Formats: sequence, structure tokens, C-alpha cells
Amino acid sequence: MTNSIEAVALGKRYRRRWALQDCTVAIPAGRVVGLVGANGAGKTTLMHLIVGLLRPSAGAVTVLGGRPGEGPDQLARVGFLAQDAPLYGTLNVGDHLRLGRHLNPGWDEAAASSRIDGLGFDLRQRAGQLSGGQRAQLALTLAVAKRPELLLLDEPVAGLDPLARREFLQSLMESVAEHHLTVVLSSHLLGDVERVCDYLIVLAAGRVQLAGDVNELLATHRVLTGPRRDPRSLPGDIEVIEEAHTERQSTLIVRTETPIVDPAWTVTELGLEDLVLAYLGQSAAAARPPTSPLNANEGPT
Amino acid sequence: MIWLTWRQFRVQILVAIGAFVVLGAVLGYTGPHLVHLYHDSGIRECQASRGDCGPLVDSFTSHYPWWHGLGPLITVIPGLIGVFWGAPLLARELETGTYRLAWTQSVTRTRWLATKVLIIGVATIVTAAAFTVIVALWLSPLDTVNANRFSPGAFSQHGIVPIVYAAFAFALGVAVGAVLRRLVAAMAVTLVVFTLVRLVIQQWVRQHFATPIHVISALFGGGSNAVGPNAWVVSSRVVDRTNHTVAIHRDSLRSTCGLPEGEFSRDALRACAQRLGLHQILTVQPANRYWPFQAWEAAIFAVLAVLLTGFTFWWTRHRIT
Repeated sequence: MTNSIEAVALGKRYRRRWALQDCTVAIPAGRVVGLVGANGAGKTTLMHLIVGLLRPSAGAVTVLGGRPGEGPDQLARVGFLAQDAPLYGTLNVGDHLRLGRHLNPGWDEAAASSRIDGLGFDLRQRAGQLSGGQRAQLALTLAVAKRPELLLLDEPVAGLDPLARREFLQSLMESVAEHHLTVVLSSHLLGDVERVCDYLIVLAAGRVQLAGDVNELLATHRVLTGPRRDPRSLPGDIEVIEEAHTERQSTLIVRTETPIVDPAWTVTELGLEDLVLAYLGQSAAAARPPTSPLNANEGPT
Repeated sequence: MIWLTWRQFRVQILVAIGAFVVLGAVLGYTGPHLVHLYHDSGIRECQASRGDCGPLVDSFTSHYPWWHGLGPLITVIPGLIGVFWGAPLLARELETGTYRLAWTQSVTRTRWLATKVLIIGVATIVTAAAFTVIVALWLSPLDTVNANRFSPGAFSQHGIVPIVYAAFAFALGVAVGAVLRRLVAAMAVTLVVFTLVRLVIQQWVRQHFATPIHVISALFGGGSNAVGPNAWVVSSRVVDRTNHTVAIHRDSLRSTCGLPEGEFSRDALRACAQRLGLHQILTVQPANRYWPFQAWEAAIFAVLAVLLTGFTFWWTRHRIT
């Protein structure tokens, strides 16, 4: 089994609105996958489909070879940290650990207590009184001590201050290294994704725009700057993701497997953030009525 | 799952146990005294000699005036259980988002729900039964004296029906919470629907469990004398010699008979009504149908509770997705 998650034409509809549509994606095992997209892009929906909280309206998704949420064994193999780290406000920290112990046959008590000790939790403190960072850490402890093979985290650091964010990601990476987890982490903070993820999926408007190994993506994407010209005149193996033109100059973001040899272009590398924004911009442009390609400064801002 | 259910439910169950202990202490302390008062009241001897026991009864029932509140207490307990035990079970998890924590542990949501419904359902039945039994025990001398246990209100506060009402209210609360996903809305809707169902069955359905009998009795002759103690007089109408229903009440009868204003003598009214050939026809469910009626009503609410619970499981599996 080389893929942890395989989705084929997966879709989820709420009444008339499609929250996720025609999502075909394979997420390899043993990777730390960043799931990136704007708010409302369908990240949470996709995660809920993978853990079995939701059922697909169209298509299918296979998780670790099984159907999501189908039986206790399947549930035991997938850990989930939902958005805003839901915890029971009136239960204290110790109660939550006990909850994890009672509801998970594979519960790793040693891992849980060492994490809780290391984080300096007071077991008698109510979850409702914890800070955002502590909530996220406690929720992560529950998800990790369950000893899943696949761990999904939905915007785990969205509400945290920079320090708590760094500590959270650090302890996440320690757990990943220790337990050989496959991780899918959704975020709209591209810096965090760049720091911890080695595989990237870009979701926009309920569809997958881009999926691939981060290094591979960075190696195959380039920024071309040169005298103004029509991008359609480029060789066929170069795919234009984004274009911006001034009166004299064209700036293109392209995907290509082969090196750019045309001396007219200045070729520079592309950061992950710009890469993601280019694909998000592309999907936004696709949603707008078409305009002429040489039509003023259309591009990222 | 059992531990989690207990941990999340313990405040509610402790409130119920606390209320039971307080009520039990009060009833346990005063109950023997009430029995003693009954034996000393002379009502039994009076009833055996078929005399006018009204003053004795009035004197006896005035000793603990708060007994009037015990029946209503049994009436509201199922509603409270539905609102505070049933409605939050799913609605709170769905509203606060903790279902995402609960249902992604290594326990299927069906088992999660089954454990909760079973444990809290059993607690519901035990609680309702415990309150109903201690109140019924305490009230038994008063029930004997009042001899009206088949009347709509008293019927709903005794026997097995309060327990089944509670089970129904709980199942209703859980189902409404699953559908609405909002705690306060679920509590309000549970209370309203429960009250409506109870009311409709009590006022319009219960009387049809068996074909009633009709009893002819003299006007102002005391209907209960004609039908015996603990029978349920569902309705009555006044008819004339030709068996036609006539619309007549006490005041119009008084003026027809030429009796002076402020004349309240039942004997005078009865004599006049007899002279005019008026009598009343009572629609009655006799006292010996009390337990069959309890069984009928309990069966209706039990079936509703089972259907609602089945619906909740289906909804949780297939619609909360």
C-alpha cells in the first residue's frame, strides 16, 4: 500500500451547494502532506470525508485500504484533530486522557503521559479554561496517543500565536518522527506548510488544483521574465500557470520538466508561497469570464 | 464508553438523586402520620355506613395542603427528563462540535449512541419509577378518600404510565436534538411536542381505548353515587322525557323551577328536575378498566419511544454526515 488515501471523483454536496467536487487525489503513505486552500475551499469537508464524519455525495474515498469510519478498526487507524480543537469544556485534562484510554484499544499511555508532563499540564484543569495553544496540544496528544497510522489535522495552528504555533508544529514533528505517521495538515498559513510538509495539495473552489512532492514542484516551476510576447508561442511542453504583462515585458509562471534554454528569458526559482498563489489565482481566473491574454496587468497582487 | 457516559451525565443524575432524597425524606417523615390521620378520621366507618362523609373528607384532606403539588410533580418529571437528559445528548455535541472528537475515537458512532441511550434510558426509567412509587405510596390514603384515580389528571400521575411518559420524553429529546443540532431550540421543541402529545392522548384519545357504557342518573343526585368510586365520567348530557338532549344548567334550571336567587339546595333542584322529567346520561369508563387503560396508554407511548429511538439511530448514521 503506497497510498494512504485515494479519492476518486469525490464530491460532497450540502443541499444545492457543492462543498467539494470532482476531487481525485492520491496521498502517499509516510509523507507530511500540506492541504492548502482559501477559506471555504473544501479542506474541512475533504478531511471530514477522510475520517468518516461525512459521507460522500459522489465518488469514493479509500483510506488505508478501507472505507472511512467503517467499524472500530478503521476508526482506530485514523487520528483526527478537528478545527478549533474540540474538547469538552467541563471535563478536565485528566478526564480527556481517560476518555482517550477508554475509547481507544491501542491507547499509548506512556506517550500520552510523557507528552502531558512535558507540556506542563495540570491534570485537574478544566479544558474550558485552557489557552488556545494548550487546547491544541491536548487535542494533539489525544490524536497521537491513539497511535493511528494516519493523522489528519484541520487548521491546527490557525488560532495560535507565533510561539505556540512553533511549539505545536515542533511537537507534531517529534511525534511524526517517533511513530512514523502519515500526516495530512490543512492550513492557509503557507509558511507553516513550507516548514513541515514535504507533499502539497492545493484545493480551490472544491477542486484539486495541484498535488505533488514539494521539492518536485519547486524544481518544475519557474518564473520567466523577458520582452513582451504571447505565451502561446512557447514550446508545447511548457505549461503557463500565470501570466502578467506590461507594455514591454512579460512575466510568466510556468511548469516544465525540461530546462528553459531560450536566452530571451530570465529564469528564476519560485518560492512555495508564490507557487500556491499562482495556482489559486489560476482557479480564480478560471471562475471569471475569459479575457484576452495580452490584456494589461492581469496577474497576482 | 460507560465511563464517558457517566462522566458527562453525572451532574444530571446527581441532581435527580438529590431531589429524590429530599422528597423521600419529606414523604418518609410525613407519610406514617398521614396514614395515622386516615385511620383516626373515621372516614372508613362513615363510608361503610353510607352516611354523608363530606365534612370528614374535607377535614382529612386539609392536613397536608401541599399534597396537591405531588401529582403535578409526577406530571412534570417526564418533561424535565426529556428537556435536560434527552435533548442535550446529541444537540450539545453537535452544537459545540465535540462530536468531531467523540466520533473519531476507536468507537463507532452507533455504539457511542447505543451506550448513551441505553444507560441514560435506564436511568430515566428508574428515576421516573422511583418518584412515581414514593409519591403513590404517600398519596394512597388520599387516593382512597378521593376515589378519583381514573380522572384524567390522576390517571396520568399513577401506575405505570408516568414511567413510559418519561421514556418517551427522553427518546423524543434525543431525536429532536439530533435533527435540530441546537441545544436551546431542541429543549424548547422537546417540551412543546411532549406536552402536545400528552395532552392530545389524555383529552381525545384515551377515552376511546374501550367503548364506554352509559349510565342514567338523576340530575343533582351525585353522579359518583350512580357509577361507583374510581369510575371515569367522560361526559354527561341532560335529556328530557323524550330522550332529547336539552341545554340546561344550574341557573337556568333554578329560574325554570322558580327557585329564589341564591338557592343552592341540591335537594330542591333534584326534586324540580324530577318533576320536569329531566335526568342525565353519563358516559362512563368503569373503574375495573383502570389497568387495561394503563396498559393501552403505556403501550402507545412505549411504541412511540421505540420508533423515535430507531429514527435517531438511522438519522445519526445516515443524515448527520
